[in-house]
Amino acid sequence: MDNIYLPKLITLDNSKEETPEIKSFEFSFENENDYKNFKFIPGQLIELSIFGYGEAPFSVVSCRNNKISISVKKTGTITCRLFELKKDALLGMRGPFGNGFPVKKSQKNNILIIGGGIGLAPLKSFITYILSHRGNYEKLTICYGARTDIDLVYKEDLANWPKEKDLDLHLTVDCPKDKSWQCNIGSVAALLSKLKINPDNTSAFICGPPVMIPYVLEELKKHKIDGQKIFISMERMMKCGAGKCGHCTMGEYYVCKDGPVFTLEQIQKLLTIR
Amino acid sequence: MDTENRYIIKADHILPLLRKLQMQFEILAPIPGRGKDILFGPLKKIEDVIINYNQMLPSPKNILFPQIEYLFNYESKNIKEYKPENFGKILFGLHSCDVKSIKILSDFFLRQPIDNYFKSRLENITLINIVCTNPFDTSFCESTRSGPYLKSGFDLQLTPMENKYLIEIGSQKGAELIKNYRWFFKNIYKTEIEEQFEIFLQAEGKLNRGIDFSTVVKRIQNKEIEFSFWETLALNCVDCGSCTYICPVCTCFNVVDKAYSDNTGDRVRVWDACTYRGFTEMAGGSNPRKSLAERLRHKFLHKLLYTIKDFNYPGCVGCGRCDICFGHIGMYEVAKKIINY
Repeated sequence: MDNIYLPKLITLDNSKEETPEIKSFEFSFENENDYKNFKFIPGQLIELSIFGYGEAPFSVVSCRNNKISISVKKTGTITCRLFELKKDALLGMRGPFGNGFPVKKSQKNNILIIGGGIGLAPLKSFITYILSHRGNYEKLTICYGARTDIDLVYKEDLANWPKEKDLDLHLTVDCPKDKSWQCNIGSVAALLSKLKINPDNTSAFICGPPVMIPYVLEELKKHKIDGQKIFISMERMMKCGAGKCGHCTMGEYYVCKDGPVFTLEQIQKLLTIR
Repeated sequence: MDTENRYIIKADHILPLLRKLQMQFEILAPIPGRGKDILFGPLKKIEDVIINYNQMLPSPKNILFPQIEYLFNYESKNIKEYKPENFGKILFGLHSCDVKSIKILSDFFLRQPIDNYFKSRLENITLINIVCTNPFDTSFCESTRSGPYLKSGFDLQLTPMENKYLIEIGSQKGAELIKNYRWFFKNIYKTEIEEQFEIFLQAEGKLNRGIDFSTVVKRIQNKEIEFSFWETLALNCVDCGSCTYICPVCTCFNVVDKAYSDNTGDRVRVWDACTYRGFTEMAGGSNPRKSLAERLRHKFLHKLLYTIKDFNYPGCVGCGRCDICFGHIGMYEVAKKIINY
């Protein structure tokens, strides 16, 4: 029986600067079998080990051709160390953990993706999934915002996505740095208020900073989207990824095991007891 | 009543039995600590064992789930798992509630995905408890169905009687042990079973405390307990974490790396406490349970709601150890406050 605490080895392949604070990292699996056994659903997490520094959870952005990639904001001990690492550095990885987005259940629905800042990372894996299974989903609308235009991640994708069929991309920033900024100014919630949404056939997927979420939910309520069709990807401190260490508990749930994706209905129940 | 799974051993024969067992097993038992303390630890000299202890022992949690556990060693590409020692251990002279606490820990650590470290330790231990004929003032084990005697869950259970013990078999492991050392044990008379029943009743009668957990749970579920209740409790909490360390069923842990050089080190897990501020604090400073009141509430709701939902029993064995809290935020007092709220 596998020991759930033992990481698989990966090496750092390359990194790409998304914003001054955010980088995307791509790793190769040391052992090809580990790659073959790594079956991941968009929205799931991994625990990344930097030996000597510890582990931290990250959303998987993509996993293909023996490579796995994540996007990271330079914030704490582990992320700061990750930013210093050079190509071929040896790291560890455990996972995937969690439930991921309901990719099957939301088929034949209009998909509304709502992201803020680095919150687009888990959502991107879902967007990529939808684009490669395009026939299974109806219209795809992406609302994405950041503090400034410099802080928008995946700029190449943001330029390419609008070229896709049945895909609307709405961008907004709080305060544009570039004077030629053509898109919206203001919060993601404000962006949502301008949209026309058919509540019966739409599933919404949210990931962003805690401050953004209540305002977004407020708008979705106005659009009358059912609480069972609103999915929020939560972020918590995590250590084990197996529902044992207790760090990620949120009421009765373990975010690493029962989440990180919860329906609004589930979360509202928690708010009454917390 | 069942005379088959019960035997009698003379009180004088306990030490010789332990001496025999020691050839086959490592024995952990109540032993003298510093001053008047009694610890639960490895029994080196058989004469040291304290059978008639009159104080609460530390819980045996650390035997199955050590306070510091080395998970694996890394040296460049070599990751070497630490395997827990695999020789047989007998935990002799446990409180009844501690056998139940091990059952609670097992249900948690062995549910999917299984924790290998805990599992391999559990496989190698035999649990022998002594019925608490003089339960402690702070215990309320009858309310959690974990004492002063047990109906199941033990490998062997000893009931102290005059100059003898009634020994009950609770598992295959226990049955084998009796079979292997059969000459120590006498067959039992029906009257002795009646005597045991009397002792059980007397022990229960001596318990000072009781809590109706179903009322506690109902009041929380009905949302009768306002947040201010927890805020008031928090005023008396210094967030020392002792209640979680001393609790036989608290399981939260942290995982850290102990580096010896750039590419060698150990990954270690250590006990943690969900009441600590840093427990839920993420890099960048955001914290879903910022206030001590929120964290205390989580701790109690975990034991009183979430554990019941998952396993059908509260995350408490009624041992009363958390009574050490000088802010009076132990389980008994909090549960009483919830009932009287």
